[in-house]
Amino acid sequence: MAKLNNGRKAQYLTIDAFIAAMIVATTLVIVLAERASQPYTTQSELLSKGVSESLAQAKLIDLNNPLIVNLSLEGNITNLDNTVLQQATEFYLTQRKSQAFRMLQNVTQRLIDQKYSFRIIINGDLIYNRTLTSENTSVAVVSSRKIIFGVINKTALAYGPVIAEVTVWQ
Amino acid sequence: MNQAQPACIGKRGIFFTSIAVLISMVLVVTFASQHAVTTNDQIQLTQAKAESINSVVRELRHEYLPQAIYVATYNAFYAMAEYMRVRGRYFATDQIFNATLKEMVVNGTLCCSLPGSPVACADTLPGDVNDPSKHVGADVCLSSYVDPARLSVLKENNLTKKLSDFENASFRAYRVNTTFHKDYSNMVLQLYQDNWTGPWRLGVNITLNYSVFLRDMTINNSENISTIFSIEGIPDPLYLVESQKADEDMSGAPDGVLYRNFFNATNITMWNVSTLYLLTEWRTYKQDSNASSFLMRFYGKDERSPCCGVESIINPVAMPSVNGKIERPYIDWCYYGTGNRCTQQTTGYLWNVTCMTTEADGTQFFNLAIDTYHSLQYNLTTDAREYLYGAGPPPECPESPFPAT
Repeated sequence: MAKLNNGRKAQYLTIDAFIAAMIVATTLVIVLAERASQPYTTQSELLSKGVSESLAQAKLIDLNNPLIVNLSLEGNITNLDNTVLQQATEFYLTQRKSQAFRMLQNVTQRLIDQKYSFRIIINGDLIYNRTLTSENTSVAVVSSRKIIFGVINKTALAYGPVIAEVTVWQ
Repeated sequence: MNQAQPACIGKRGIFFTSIAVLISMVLVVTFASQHAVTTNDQIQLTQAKAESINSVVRELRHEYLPQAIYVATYNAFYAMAEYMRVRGRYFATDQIFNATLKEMVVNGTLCCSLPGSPVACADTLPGDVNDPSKHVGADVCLSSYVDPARLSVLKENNLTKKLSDFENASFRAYRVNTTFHKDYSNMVLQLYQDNWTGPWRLGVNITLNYSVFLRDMTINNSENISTIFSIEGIPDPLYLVESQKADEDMSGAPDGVLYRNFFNATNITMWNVSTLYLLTEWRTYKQDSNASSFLMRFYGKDERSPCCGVESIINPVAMPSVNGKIERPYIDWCYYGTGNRCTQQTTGYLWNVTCMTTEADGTQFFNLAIDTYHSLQYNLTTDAREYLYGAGPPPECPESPFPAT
């Protein structure tokens, strides 16, 4: 009879321990799942913001880029105080999209790591696109927008405000 | 004893479960006590909103508004110069000029007294000039007199349009609502030229009220936006008005031809007969404290401006109707100025310039004359060689080559 009691006791304790383990595990799963759902900043997000900020703030004169120098000498760029996005917008609005493409291709080559895909849209039109992986299969696609405005050739012929959008994905 | 045993086992049997429940409660309490994380999230959200709003305000304050004011003011001056060309007269007073300018900058409209205007308005009457109901867009007013490309620039580049464009753009780009309080009567527009701006730049101050808001976060600002810009490229009203009403043949009736000259500062700093030649040839401007300023030329005030007076030389090749019958120095404000302030005498005061003046009509700088004051300003008498002469054929030019480069 004592043997039976000890056996039942052990059985109860085993079941008890099992239930206890289940409770702890379930609680942990719930807690960790909640934590995992918290928003986090991806590298693409930082990169997208960084790229659009750089393109919107870096002045052509500061880039020391041979293509910019050539375009300036040829008279295609008349104001080296323009930022890269301002100049791209000026090219776009003066029907010189190919020059905007060439300039953005050249400038972003050094600026953005080759493992990232990205595109630059001005006023709803695709100006430059570098696609290494499909955007649809990407785990993180991040866009950043800037308002662009300026004057053409240091005159009072103003353009903008137009919206430039930089989208980066990996 | 047998009946008591299961109860004893039962109490011990939930020992682990009890411990597990306690652990779970601790975990849940720990998790639930992540108020810090939630607050952190809220702080991050608030920070993101504040960052968005701040970046819009920064962009507005430091970049967009100064540029919008520059573009609107520059185009207002351009349109007003064109209006003066067609009208053939200056703005009647500086108050009328200022009121017209303010409305042109803010709304792109003016009191239009030109034939064909859809609304009758007398631009010499302060009542009409200050009554917006009698005003029309500059593009409408000048539609028969200015090329269409310029008209669309006039239509697009006033402050109200620029502010509306930004309101739309800030919402589309950042989902941030920007609202400008476009209360025309409360906007204060100030123009100035002083020692700091110098004669080639114009300062503009305007007070603007605006709100930027994103959900529950709002910034209300009343700001005095300042910008300084170059006047280069704007047509000189002195030429536009006076050239067409000049009495070149001294018959008593105007027979002038309309000429345009655009403000463009010379980069010459050392003056001699060669650089005077280049100034005349290139039709550029130099500073002179006795000349009238850019602003004065819009309302016909022929007075000296110590900080900001500018002058150019009338070029008889580019302006062939200037035939020498009007015996005045060929400095723009001396030749066209209503005050005739340079010299009213000729002998001993008005000079031809060796190397430049010619006697044959249609040749370079035919009958070009200069007064004693300007001969000193351009260093034509400080040299051992004298470049001035009175009547008679010009002496041989002592410079070789001329103009010296």
